[in-house]
Parts: sequence; structure tokens; C-alpha cells
Amino acid sequence: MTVATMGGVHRTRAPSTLADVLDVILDKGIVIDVYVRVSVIGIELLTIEARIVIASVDTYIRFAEAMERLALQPALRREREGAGLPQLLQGVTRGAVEGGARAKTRGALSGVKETASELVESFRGGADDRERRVPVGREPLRARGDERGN
Amino acid sequence: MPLHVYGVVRSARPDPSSVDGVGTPPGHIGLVRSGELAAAVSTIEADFEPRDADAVRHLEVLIALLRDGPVLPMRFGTVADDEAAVQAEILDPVTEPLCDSLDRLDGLVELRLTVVADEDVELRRLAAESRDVRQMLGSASEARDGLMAHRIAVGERLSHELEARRSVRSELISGRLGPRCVDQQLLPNVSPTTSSHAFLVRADDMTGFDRAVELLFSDLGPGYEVEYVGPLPAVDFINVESHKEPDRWSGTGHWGW
Repeated sequence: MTVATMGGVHRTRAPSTLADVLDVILDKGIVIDVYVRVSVIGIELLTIEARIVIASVDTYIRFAEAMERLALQPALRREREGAGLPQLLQGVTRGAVEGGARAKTRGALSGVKETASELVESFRGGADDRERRVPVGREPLRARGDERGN
Repeated sequence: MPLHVYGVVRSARPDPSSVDGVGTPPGHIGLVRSGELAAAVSTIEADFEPRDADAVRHLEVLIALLRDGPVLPMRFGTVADDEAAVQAEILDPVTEPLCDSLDRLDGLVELRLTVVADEDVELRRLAAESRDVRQMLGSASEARDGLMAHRIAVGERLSHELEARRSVRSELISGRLGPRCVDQQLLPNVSPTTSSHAFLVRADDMTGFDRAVELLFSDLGPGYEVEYVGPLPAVDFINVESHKEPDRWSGTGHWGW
């Protein structure tokens, strides 16, 4: 992960997390469905088409709470009390510096999806762009990893 | 022994150098050749099941193969009984489309760009730019101890606003980098603050593309985190003639891409 605000952008040769690796290779590549002596094992046989229409309520609540938290900070509070836009924009600028390049929403990407709600969250973001194949069999991959003590 | 199949390459290329395959212990990568085509494979145990580490190795093998020419990745977890099965069921039935695809991707690589906007910064910008949002927040704070449904409605609205900002950003990224790439794809997004792009780029123009990416992000300003990865095999740009002519292959099974 490269922080764009701290100098140049650097290209890395491979994804930095397992989740990003899976993002590159799962659901991709040549598939053979019904050959006799070649098969796709483990994770992909059970893929189903799913156009995600479930909106993640958890995400909505998180955004609402984040905004409430921000609203308690001086710049936004002054805005509500009628101070006007300039102070608010200062808040934006300061926030950009203070906030740095933290990305809280990155949570879902920094590990294999742990729960059904994370899975839903990870898919719902793409629903507006195009349909996405949901690998139902992704769970066993992690389960086996757990058995190894990872 | 059964074989794990990584990808299809041209037959006329050197055998892969030492890179670990999937399984425990890691298999040695070799080529199963048939005419102009070859499949990169490694031997696996009969009870092989793909694990997390194998997913990483699968991609590592594909990246290593890319150094010596174009690669068509197989779906992770593809297993064949033996070399004869690889030839008879993967390489031979669709030789021509596979060769065409390799020709099409020759000299091209995939670069992936994921841009994550800082959530707090985005929300502040949203509040600064939209009077509607500010008004809604005013009523939201009055209802803070009230109905959860109200909070959800506020969050949904914020989510949609963030998505709208993301689409503008995605279009900017596509527009700025489009002229420097051969093809591009907007990838499914994980959250309303994340946009992911895949670009098919000429391998000999990667430094030019790097510069375009750097320039883009200095113009975007603060508050964005970037993951920029490559060169990868063109996993998001594989399409083969056979897909357009399903009848031609109906006698030998179904191929999907």
C-alpha cells in the first residue's frame, strides 16, 4: 500500500494482502465445466450468479455514526450554528491532513472475509457497476487455513 | 500423479525457472506441451485442496510466467488427472482461440489501481459541499436517541452520496489514464469510498503509465490511499473467440471465461 500524499505513487509487483490476491485470481481465468479428467476443485464449483440487491444496513449505520462523530467536532458544529462555509472548509483541509490516508473501509479487504455481513458488504459495493459472481465456496478456503493454525 | 494447472502459454518458450507451485511440499513447475501451446503445471497429492498459501503461489507462478511471454491464467484450483488429460481436455480442444488470445495479449500486461478515499475526509467534503446533507444532519442529531430507522436512512443517504463522489472519481481516473492504455475495466467495488481499476498496458510503456498515475494523484490532492500493482497477467482482459461461438464446442463440453 502506497500513500499518495507522501510523495510519488509506487507500483508493487504483487498484491500486499491475501484478500487482494484472492481479488485478483478468484472468479478469473479459464474454466472447464464438464470435462472428465480435469476439474476445478475446492472453491469455484459452487459459484452462483448473484446480483446483490441487499443493502448493508451495518454500513449505513457506520456512515451515520461517523458523520455524527465529525459533527461533534468544532468546524461542523459552528456550521450548524451559522458560522458559514469558510470555517467548514478549513475543517476539511485540516481533516485531510490529520486524517492522513487512513482508510477505515479497508477493513473488509485486509483479511479474508470473516462473516456473512462482510461478504455482503464487499459485494454490494460492486452491484452498481456490474453483476458479480459470488464464490459461495470461498468459506472452505479460510476454514482450511484456520485448521493450519493461520 | 494429478497436476495443478496454472495457465496456458506458448509452447516455444523456456521451461519456467525455479518458482514454487501449490501444495505441501511445493510442486515443481513444468510445461506440458502440445503443438503450439503448453500448460504450466505442477504435481500435487491426490487429496490436494487449495489453501490460502496456494492462492498466493498460484498468482506468483502466473507473474513469473509472464516474464517469458503471454499467459492465459486458468481458474485457481484447476486439477487434471495427468499430462494426457491436460493435452486432451485443455490444450487440444480449443487450440486456435487460445493461440489467438495469446497473440492478442502478447506484449501487454495488467496494472491494477485501487484508490481508497479517507472516509472522514470524504464525509467532511460531503458536508461542506451539500446544504441538503447539512440539513439532514441537523435533523439527524435531533433524532439521535430516536428511531434506529432514521439513523439508517441518514447512513443510506450518505452512502449514496459517497458512491456518487466515487463515480465522479472513477470517471476522472478512467479518463486520465484511458489514453495511455490498450483497454480498461472498472472492477467491482468493496465500499463507497473505494474504486478499483484494471488497465491493459503495453509492457514497454509501463514507465509512461507510472508517470501518468503519479501525475493523476498529485492532481487529486490529499486524502487518498493508492494500491498500484503489476505487471500482472491480464486476468481481467481474457476473452476468446470460443465464447462467441458456443455451438462450435458443444460436442466437447463447455468453456467459460
